[in-house]
Amino acid sequence: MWFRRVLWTLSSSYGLRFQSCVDEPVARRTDFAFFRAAPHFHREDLAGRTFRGSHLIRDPRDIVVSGYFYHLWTEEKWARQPDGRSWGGLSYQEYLNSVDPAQGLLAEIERAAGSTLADLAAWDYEQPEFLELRYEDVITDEPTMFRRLFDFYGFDDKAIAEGLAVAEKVSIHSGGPDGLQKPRRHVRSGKTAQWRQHFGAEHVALFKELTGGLLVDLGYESDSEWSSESSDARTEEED
Amino acid sequence: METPRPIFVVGCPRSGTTLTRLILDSHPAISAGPESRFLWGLRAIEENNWSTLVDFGLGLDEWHANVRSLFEAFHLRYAEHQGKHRWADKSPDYALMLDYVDVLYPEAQIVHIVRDPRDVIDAWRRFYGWKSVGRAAHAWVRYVRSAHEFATRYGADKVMELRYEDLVREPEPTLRALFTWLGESWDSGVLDFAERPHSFGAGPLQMEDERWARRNGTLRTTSIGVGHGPAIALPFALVRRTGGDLLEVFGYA
Repeated sequence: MWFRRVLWTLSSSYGLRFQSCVDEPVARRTDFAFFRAAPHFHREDLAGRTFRGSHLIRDPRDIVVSGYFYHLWTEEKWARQPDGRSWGGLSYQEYLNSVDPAQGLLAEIERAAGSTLADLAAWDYEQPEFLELRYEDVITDEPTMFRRLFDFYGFDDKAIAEGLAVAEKVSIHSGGPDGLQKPRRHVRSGKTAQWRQHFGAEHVALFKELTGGLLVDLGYESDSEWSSESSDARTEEED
Repeated sequence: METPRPIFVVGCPRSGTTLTRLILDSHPAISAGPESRFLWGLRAIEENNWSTLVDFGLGLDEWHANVRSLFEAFHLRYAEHQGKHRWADKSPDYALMLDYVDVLYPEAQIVHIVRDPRDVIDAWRRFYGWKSVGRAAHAWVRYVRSAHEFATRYGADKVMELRYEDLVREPEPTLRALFTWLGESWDSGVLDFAERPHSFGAGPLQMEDERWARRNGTLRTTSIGVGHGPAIALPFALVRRTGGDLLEVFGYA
């Protein structure tokens, strides 16, 4: 959502046509297409058109932690509707709120393995039109990473400067009116490696079982021997 | 004349149950009309409004006889239209209610189609979209476990479990075994299923549709192994977690 805001604000400033794509193809006149999830991008829809894109990933363990806290309160319909089959007849959100955080996090790992994390595993990371970005790198040095991004998009110097100004204005670190670091926003704190606070041994085991070599493939671990170093703190509420 | 045993084709959706229906519907003695799923609605009446039915003076056996009669009515109509005497029903999710099917039709024969869960998940992804892959993984375990447990309880006279891969790789020997089990003669015309209509008033299937292509004695086998890439690895791990025993049973481990 953070990137979407940056790109949308930038599009508005320049009078560019911004499209948030879900199932519909990218319109002929669209300048900026944003895909909330990678599977919504279909290369064949852009046949005959030149394009540049970026693909943002994050440590899958932090995706799980972030997803857990988000799904505790989100108003997204799917999370609030009992499906009658899973979660003991409750909605996913009701279930998460009915169990302790450790149990809820196990459920979130299982849910994510069939959705967001499966998307990460499915993406083709060798597409020359795409700049691959890691959330952890962007958040560490926003100006450098956004400059790299806008440069890859083919912006001229003036546009890059404008883009950087927009990025700074809606920075994830900003607590001001345009910042995203507010209670009950999709981005809770923006901190990296939060999973260390919340993953216990059972979470590590389940995560490894379901994701196999994903962390190594994405460069977040060098081998499969990783573990949580703060299991005693896993049930504490976020700081 | 003895009333022939009805046939129910069940399985996890996207496992080849439609292909099986079309083949059965092409046999000279068997009609297998379109998927209906009507039993869910009929069972819901009994589950949700039983006290009302009692107020009307109905007992459970009488109610079940009524359900049976109603459910058969459209199958028999379709069979009659085709000049056939035996009907089959293909509703994949009856895999989840085989005990109810058994209450209504204790004499029925059940055909349970099982397909490699990786390919099923991939088929869900293509058909229902990416968000469905997690659901597909859970569905495969739920459907296959339900039908397989029923098969284990009732035995080989009642349930035949067929692997989709065997059906498309070696259709004739697989189908000969199926029709023998059903007590029907072999008819090679069942493999010409694409050339026949399969619902009232319809024309033949589209032969150019790749799904129904036949080559050198096999059906379309390109759908085997399509889900064996990294894209399905995580949902498959979900299957392994709760359905590892089923993967072993059906040779997909």
